[in-house]
Amino acid sequence: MSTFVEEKPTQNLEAFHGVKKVPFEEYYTSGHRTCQACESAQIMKLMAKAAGPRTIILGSTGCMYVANTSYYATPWGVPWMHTQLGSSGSAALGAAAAFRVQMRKGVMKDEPINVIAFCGDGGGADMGLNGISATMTHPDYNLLVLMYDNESYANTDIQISGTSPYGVNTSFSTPGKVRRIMNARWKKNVAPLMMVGHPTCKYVATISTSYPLQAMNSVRRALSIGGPTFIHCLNPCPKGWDFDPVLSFELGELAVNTGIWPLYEIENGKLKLYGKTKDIANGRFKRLPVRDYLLKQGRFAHFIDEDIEFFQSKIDEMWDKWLVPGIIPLQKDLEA
Amino acid sequence: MEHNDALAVRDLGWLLTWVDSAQEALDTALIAYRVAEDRRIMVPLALSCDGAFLTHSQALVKIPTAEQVKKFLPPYNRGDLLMHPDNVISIAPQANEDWVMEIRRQNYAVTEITCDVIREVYADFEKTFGRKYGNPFFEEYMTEDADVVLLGMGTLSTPTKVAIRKLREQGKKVGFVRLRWFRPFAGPEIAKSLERFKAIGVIDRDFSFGSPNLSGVVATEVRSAMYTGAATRPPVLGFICGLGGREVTVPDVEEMTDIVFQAAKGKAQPLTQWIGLRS
Repeated sequence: MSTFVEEKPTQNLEAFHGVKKVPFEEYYTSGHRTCQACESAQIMKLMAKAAGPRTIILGSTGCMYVANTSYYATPWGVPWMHTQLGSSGSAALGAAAAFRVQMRKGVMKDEPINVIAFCGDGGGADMGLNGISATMTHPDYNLLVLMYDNESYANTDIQISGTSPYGVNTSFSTPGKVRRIMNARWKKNVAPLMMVGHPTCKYVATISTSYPLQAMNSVRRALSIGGPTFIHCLNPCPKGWDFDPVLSFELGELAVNTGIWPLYEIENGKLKLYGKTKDIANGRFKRLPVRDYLLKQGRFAHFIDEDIEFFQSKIDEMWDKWLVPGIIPLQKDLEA
Repeated sequence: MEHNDALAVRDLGWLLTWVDSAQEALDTALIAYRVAEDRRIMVPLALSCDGAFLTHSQALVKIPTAEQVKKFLPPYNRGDLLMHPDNVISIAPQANEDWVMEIRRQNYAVTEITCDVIREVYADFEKTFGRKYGNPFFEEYMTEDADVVLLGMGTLSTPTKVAIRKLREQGKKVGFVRLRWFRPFAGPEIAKSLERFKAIGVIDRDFSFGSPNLSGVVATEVRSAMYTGAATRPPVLGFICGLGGREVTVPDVEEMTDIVFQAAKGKAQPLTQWIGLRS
């Protein structure tokens, strides 16, 4: 990096080697009112646990604002502040810059403090995209933007977002008699967007709450490596996706095993695949049919075979034709 | 430039103040931080400087020493509101509609004491810097023996004062009141001051669409303050002038003064008139 970049040390958070090494202390506890089996709340808990006590968290509007922090109640055991719906990126950058100034002036003790801003898919992939994008171009500041993705505006009654999957039934895309598929859009590929579009972004990862150890270690890695970092987490939502809460964990696994949700991290441009995604990529594991994942959810109950086949063909394309399978949607044919 | 730019936030619980010189802008900036960051207040404050007329013109300014400023305005200390891992707090949780009344009432409690805090801070400012502003809320110019007055905010004070000196030479006893603080609006004090004149002309560099008498914001506020706070009810005429940065000229002020004198003589005048409008 250029000499103009004023790098500051980060906390060196070692990876947890095994669940038994994870500390007991929780920094996201009782006091919220999220739904039963809410995976978005789960990632809040894992994120706070992984980051530890020398952390501040900024939360943009969304489920994890409204359901977590009602007036006179809070689940947060680390300092937390609300920020506007589309401003998680700018809030993270501003907070990191403010800490630096306060420490330079000697108002605060000079020490590495984790700055995390979280946003939902609506706040991150839709409204806040420009702010996060600008933030990812600032190499001087150490911060993490974590996007929890329940594939809809779940807090305001399940409206379609930029990360809602193809054909999904939401309150803005209810299937009818004349048209069955009311969402013809394909889910935004946000993590590669952050990495490919921002050479200064040092670390990007996709995680799932069904793989909590990897999720926590990704958060710890993002906070240790420094610079602007981004994590995208897929969170099954019993209310929005219309399934029995008992299936939350299983759906997270199925998203990975069907190849719909690849798990990987990209650190300084180096790609590393995880778990079943790695096995899929090198042919050790055959992707499960997307039917197994789709038909467990009420939001796809209107799908007929034709729709499932189309969905499957798009996932096949993602793995068979993409330049970097499952991640970068340039076709291999372009190589020549 | 027009005052609607800032008046758009007048009912959001903000404090609003207008200045008319570079010196006053500097001084009021120091004062404004003291007022807004006072732990009894802690609400947003907007300091309005008329664009171009004030912000893009040159003037000599007395810059206070850093020691003086540090004495008057110590480093900001958020205390127990600091966002730091050593101070575990949650800031700005979601207050639903069932708490709105209580939160508004807290804002109201602030407005009850803001005038007193502003007086305190101005007194301290005078003690520290030796510069005196007198009444913090409004400035009076040639009002001692005036029959009628004009009232306005911001840089329109300059042409108005020039015109008044000219009119005084012709024997017309007119004065000028310049409002400094719009929020809080020092209602009783303003009413007590204005009740002694025969007629009042309020120059608004703004407009409140569909307001009572279709006037500007300040005229409406002055009438409201006088209705409850003044012993007499002189006519309060509203003038809409200088919108969009159009200059308020000396002939404009002379025209307005003539109209106010007509009202003082008992000749009924329209409650709102547009001055300097192209036909």
